[in-house]
Amino acid sequence: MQVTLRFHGHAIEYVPGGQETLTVDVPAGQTLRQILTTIGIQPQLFAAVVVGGHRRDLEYVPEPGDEVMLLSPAAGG
Amino acid sequence: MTIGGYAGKILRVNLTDGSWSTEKTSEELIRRFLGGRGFCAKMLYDELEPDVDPLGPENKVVIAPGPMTGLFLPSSGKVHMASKSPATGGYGDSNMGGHFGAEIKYAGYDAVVIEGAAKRPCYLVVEDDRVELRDASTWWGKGSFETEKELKQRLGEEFQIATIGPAGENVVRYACITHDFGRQAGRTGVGCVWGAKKLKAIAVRGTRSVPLADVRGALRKGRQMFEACFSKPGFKEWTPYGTAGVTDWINEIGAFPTKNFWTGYFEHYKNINGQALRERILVTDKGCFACPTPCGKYSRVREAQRCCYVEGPEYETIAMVGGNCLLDRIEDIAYANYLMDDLGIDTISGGNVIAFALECFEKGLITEEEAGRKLAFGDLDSVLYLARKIAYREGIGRILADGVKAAAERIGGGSERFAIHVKGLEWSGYESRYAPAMMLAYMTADIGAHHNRAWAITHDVAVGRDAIEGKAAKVIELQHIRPLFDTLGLCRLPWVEIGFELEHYAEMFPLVTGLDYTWEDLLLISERIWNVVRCFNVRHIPGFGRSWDYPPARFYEEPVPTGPAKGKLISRETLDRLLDDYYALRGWDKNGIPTPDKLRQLGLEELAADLQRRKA
Repeated sequence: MQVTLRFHGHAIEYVPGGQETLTVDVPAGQTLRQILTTIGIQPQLFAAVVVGGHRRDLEYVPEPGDEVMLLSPAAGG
Repeated sequence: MTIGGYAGKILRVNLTDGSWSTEKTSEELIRRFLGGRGFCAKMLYDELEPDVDPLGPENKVVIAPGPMTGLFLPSSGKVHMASKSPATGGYGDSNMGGHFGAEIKYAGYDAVVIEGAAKRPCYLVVEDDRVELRDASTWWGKGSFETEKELKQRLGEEFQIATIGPAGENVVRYACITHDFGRQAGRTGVGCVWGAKKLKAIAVRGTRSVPLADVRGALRKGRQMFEACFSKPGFKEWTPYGTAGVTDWINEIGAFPTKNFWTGYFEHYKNINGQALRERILVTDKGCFACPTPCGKYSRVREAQRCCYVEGPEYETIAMVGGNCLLDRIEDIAYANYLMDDLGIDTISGGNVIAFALECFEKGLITEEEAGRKLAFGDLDSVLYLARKIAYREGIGRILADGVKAAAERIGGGSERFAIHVKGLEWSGYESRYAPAMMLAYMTADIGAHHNRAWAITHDVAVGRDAIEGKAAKVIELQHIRPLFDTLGLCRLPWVEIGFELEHYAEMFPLVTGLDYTWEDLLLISERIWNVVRCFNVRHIPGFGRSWDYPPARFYEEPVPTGPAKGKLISRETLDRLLDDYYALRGWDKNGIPTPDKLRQLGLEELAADLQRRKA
């Protein structure tokens, strides 16, 4: 199934190719943590996950066609 | 040539004799140092002799907005305040939001320089060309909030006011300046310098415009920048929690300062995080000048004998007054935040010093008799009691008011190993034993242990937390980008928060100024300023060098005892390696002193000559 990952904030620089959006084919049943690890992105880079306007976490299991927003941690003055 | 973005004048006020004067803002100063932090660093380097006492009349305070402060673009409300620091003896500065910086520009000034010292409490009123020192006896002894409120009532709501509290008056070395009922220039004790000069407040009002090189172009670009901010998908997710929203993440990676940096994980963090703030005490969001993404959270605590409104707590206060003192209720942190703001104590240094005192008490290094009562981690009354003692320099507060470095020297008993500072400035809200880049960022931050010069902790997480290779280069890269915002007069949070692209600022700069500087040119200026500050410290701190860049022994001798970073520490050898890499990349010698070649390469021939003269 396909899932769209949209990255936000300064952590984008650690996404392969610095892309803001990645659409990936993943087996059903995988958590976001597993998906990110598989495509070579450190899951701990993201402080918040939003799907369809709802806050989720890295243990969320995406459904087909989900658009997942991954937010960088933000503070640091 | 008139360079856009500048008001054109610098105001100097001498508190000793009450005189004031203006001078044209030097084009050379603009071209080489831009404004804000750059003006502060160069002017203080040039104007302060090495033997100046930070609390003496010869010390100066430079207050400088930047060329982009007060303009139509996102988050352009920043102002820089600097002096020789009473906390460190070296260069000290702090950056503040709100509306004060923009008002200084509108009054017609690119910087205000405070010189001398008054005999009696005074406050400065600046209204365009009208400059006046007035008697502040009525407010001496009063809190920051009451002072600001009453000055607004007296002068008019349209005045922007910055003030110190009792901590500044009593020369607490980490006293802050408060503006807009909750924005602070908190670090390095600039408020202490105001207090030593008997300056209670500054009130500014301006009615002028600021010339721009390309008015239409700058307006078009400014509008585009706002629209770009609003269209960022992270925009709606960031604002509800502000900086407090990062509390969970910092705990999950084991970097939350807990119990005087004993560990990096606080088990009750969900009781003091952004969600707790939002659900239990939030009244409204509160932004600074031209801010599309307000991080300020205006809160209300409604508890018996502890009712207050306060802006905050933001992340740093949650970390330093919350986790670090083991306060596990957001209401308690908010109340302590309110009290410390009103007293005029920087909540970062204040939380750090109080946690240090609590650990000293726990270890028997401060007795109940010396403290004046029993003290305990997790006890709000202990925190409030110590904050008051510090602000009024009473009892144990006389020792603690000088900061953890000086307090540890007085208290002894091995307390220096858990006096958490670098260069005499208390460490802020990131426990870094399992984050080498962040550790190096603290070690090398030019003012002492402050996080905002290089918030490199995401880099540690991204590329490997045990890795050392490449960490120094990343820290240096950030140390040039982040302070550049302080130089231009901008808030960097839209970039950090929602990924607002740096290219926007590069495009805006020539439209504002007319100077054809590229982003790389601006970064080179930022590096120049970084080296000026390092040279200031070499010039002012006897024996300054490598040994001043190490963290306390707790971080390289005690493994983290609990949480996700359990068992981790950073060895002394690793610290050596990090510093070797860092100095080599910076073009400094092995003692951390900029080489003459490096200074000349940065166009700082006069500093190269100065350092060589001193060496000879």
